Amino acid sequence: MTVLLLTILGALILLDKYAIGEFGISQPIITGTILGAIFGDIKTGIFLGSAFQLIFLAGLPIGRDIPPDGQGGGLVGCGAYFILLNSNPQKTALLISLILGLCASLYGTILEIWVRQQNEKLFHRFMRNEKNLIGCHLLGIVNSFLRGIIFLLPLFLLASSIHTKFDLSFRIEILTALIVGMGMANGLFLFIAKKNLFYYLLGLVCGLVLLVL
Amino acid sequence: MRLGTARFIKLFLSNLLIQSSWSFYWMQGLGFLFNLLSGFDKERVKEILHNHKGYFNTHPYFSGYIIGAIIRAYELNESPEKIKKFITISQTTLASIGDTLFWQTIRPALLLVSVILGMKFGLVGPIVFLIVYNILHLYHRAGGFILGYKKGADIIYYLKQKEQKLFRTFYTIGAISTGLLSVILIKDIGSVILIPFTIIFFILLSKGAPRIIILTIFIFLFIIIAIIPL
Repeated sequence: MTVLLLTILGALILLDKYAIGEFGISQPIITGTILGAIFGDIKTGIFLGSAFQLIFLAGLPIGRDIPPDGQGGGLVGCGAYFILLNSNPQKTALLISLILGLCASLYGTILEIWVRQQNEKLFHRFMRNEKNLIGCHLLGIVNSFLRGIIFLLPLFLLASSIHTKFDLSFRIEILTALIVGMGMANGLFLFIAKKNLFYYLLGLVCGLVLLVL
Repeated sequence: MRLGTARFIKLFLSNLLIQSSWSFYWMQGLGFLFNLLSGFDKERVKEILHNHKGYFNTHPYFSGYIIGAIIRAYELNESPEKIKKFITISQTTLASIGDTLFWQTIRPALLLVSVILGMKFGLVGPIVFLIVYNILHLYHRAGGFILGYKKGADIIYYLKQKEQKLFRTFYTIGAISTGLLSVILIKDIGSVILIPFTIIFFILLSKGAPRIIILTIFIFLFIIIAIIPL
């Protein structure tokens, strides 16, 4: 039941990515917070959401480009963590959910292409019957919602089928460094140029001052 | 001439769905017609469909400026050829302004701020992002119709100048946040290993490597590190 409800909620959240509004609700830090609130652990939700946010910060949906599905990956990662927590130790749940979320972002890209191909058919249907503009256009929302279901359901079912009793021991500090390294590279790539270097240094100094205080 | 409240609400609500049927070839073609027709009486539907059926693509938050200007042009009885020319120029220009301003600057800058605030103060981070981002987003989405209708075709030149200031502000916020985040995260992790990772991914991004490739390398490294015995 949890898997089904989470899938429907996730598919609705993912409509925000393109189909309705684009209010930023589907960004990993927001979905992490929402799912954390639902499962009663906002702090972990924000932490996981932030990790996915840093990884996918520079994925820009410009023109025909389809970047890895950061929003979908974040949602799968955060949702899978709370599902896995039912029948797995915490560290194991964390590692598996991160891997699932990352792989899901690649799988989500394939489904994104599928939705756009389906929407292409809607345009041709409209060309055959121009009176059907509203119907054809709004069916695009149905395509996006179905995409969300097809995307999330198998991954959440997979997460719910994993039962381990042992706590995986892994190098959490190196994995965290990898995630943060990716996030910092994204930030530097997006915002640091010669003319802006002063502000980056200002941020560094502010950070150091805050640490001392 | 006035846009009118009822018409404005119809335009704004249908604009929220402009990308619902986004496709590779026609892009926002259907959404554009759906949005544009909500600003006209039923008598003009056939004419609008005939003139504007086909490809359309711009930044979704900036599409209101174009649609507002088109409605004005029709009300001033300008020729369809002139209107089509305006659409061709404006969609590319506003797509470029919108992508640079929102996708490349405002959204990542605010997300960085929300990550910093989220790590230090919890719920404050995501809430700040949603509020600030949507004030700016809705200002352009809703205000676009009014301003586009008021300025007509001049909207392109007006926006080019106006958005520069907003871009510089958020570009600066992004740079400061990146610096701040670097210090906070290095301190929290307490490991210098993140520096080589940062350099590797920064080089890949700067060289223009496809995001899919960068992510695949990231996942590969992640799994390798996870399975290496302690």
